[in-house]
Amino acid sequence: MKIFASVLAVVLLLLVVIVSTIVGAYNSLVGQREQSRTEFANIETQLQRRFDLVPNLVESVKGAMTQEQSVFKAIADARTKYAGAKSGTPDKLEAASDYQSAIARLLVVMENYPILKSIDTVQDLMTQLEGTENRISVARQRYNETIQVYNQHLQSFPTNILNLMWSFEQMKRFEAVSEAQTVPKVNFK
Amino acid sequence: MLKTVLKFIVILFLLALLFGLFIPILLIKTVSANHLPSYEGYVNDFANVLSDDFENKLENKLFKYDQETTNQVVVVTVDSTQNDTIENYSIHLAEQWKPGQKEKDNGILMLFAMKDHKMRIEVGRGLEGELTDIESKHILDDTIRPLFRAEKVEEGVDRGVDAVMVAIATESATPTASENQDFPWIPILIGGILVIIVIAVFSKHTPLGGEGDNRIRGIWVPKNGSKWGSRSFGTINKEFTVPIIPAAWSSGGSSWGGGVSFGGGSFSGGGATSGW
Repeated sequence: MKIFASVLAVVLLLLVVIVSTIVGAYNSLVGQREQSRTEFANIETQLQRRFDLVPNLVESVKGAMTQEQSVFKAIADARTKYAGAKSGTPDKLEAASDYQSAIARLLVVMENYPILKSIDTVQDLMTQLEGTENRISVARQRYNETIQVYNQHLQSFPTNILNLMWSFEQMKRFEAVSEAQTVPKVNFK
Repeated sequence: MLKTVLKFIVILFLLALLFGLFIPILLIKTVSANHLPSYEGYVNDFANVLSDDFENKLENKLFKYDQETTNQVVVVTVDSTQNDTIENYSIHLAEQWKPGQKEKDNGILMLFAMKDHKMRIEVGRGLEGELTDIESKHILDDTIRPLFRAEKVEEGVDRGVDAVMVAIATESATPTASENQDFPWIPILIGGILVIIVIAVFSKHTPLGGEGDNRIRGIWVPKNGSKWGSRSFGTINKEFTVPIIPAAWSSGGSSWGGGVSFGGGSFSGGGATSGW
């Protein structure tokens, strides 16, 4: 009788451990995935803000930069590509990176037109663009940190075994393209 | 005899599960802890470019301003942001110090990297409407930069702070939703319950416990005099629990420094950068 009680206790104990592990793993995966999605949405909000700003910038510099049509075309193309990509997919990330390189190129080319920098509208637009770039990079960093926790959790034992029945998917990091990192570096000396 | 060995194995197994499962979760959260300095007050002159007299006056001004408006404006000077960009350095500082109230996110961080000749105003989420990127840029370029170029650092900082105050005084900050990282109650609760169950099961006073031999029981009842039992538990406490839990904990609330405590405001990268 005593042995039976002990065995029962041990079995119950194990059951508690196993069930709480499963429940805990599932719930924290769901939580982390939601957090990642929210943070991805934050990136998209800032990307959208960039899409609203850049056309204004392009409008105000176009007149002076008649030789640089290919840059403007690249910006327009990347924008179309971004609009066509489904939200939250790797395609979207890639299109956003393309757009960023196109803008980076515009900013580099603008260096050749010092007169533009003395125009207040252009300067304010540049400031806003820098601010947006910085917000994008902050949002991207936070997203990457969150999905790192999520991905790490997903690959850890015993979640990796449990995930055979749930099939949560790993999330992709949002890396900055190398030219993009130079975008906010615009100096008005 | 077999039974005691079995019990022992089960205990070890449970302990292993406990530490194996819960400790990594706590560890992951502390990865972001880094080498940034802690704050000394509203004015943090790490580069030593401000006189004590000026520092006190500014500290008082910012303290009073906080009392009146709950807006927390923080001034930081450093020699250099090392190999980090000033934008990165400043957002990490803001994330760690969390000036501003938790519900209002009304903190401002003004960072001056003296040797880099770079400066930045980092604006809390709740104040981005009052102090826009363009306004921040104008404060940096038009108010502070000329004075810094003329080597009037104190005056530049003072005028810059005033300009920031004027900009954000127009309206009180609008409340924003901010994410909070809670203390991990559930893993600790489960852990606690497990420990209690284990003690209950293996204690001789309960019907489930049975009568084991003294050496084994010594692990759970240290006063019986089992030396390695109680000591090893103590080491675990020192090495794991003590440094980890407060670190994970403090990320949710405010941290302390020099009698001033910031309220837990959040930042999303608003503001502007300039140089001189």
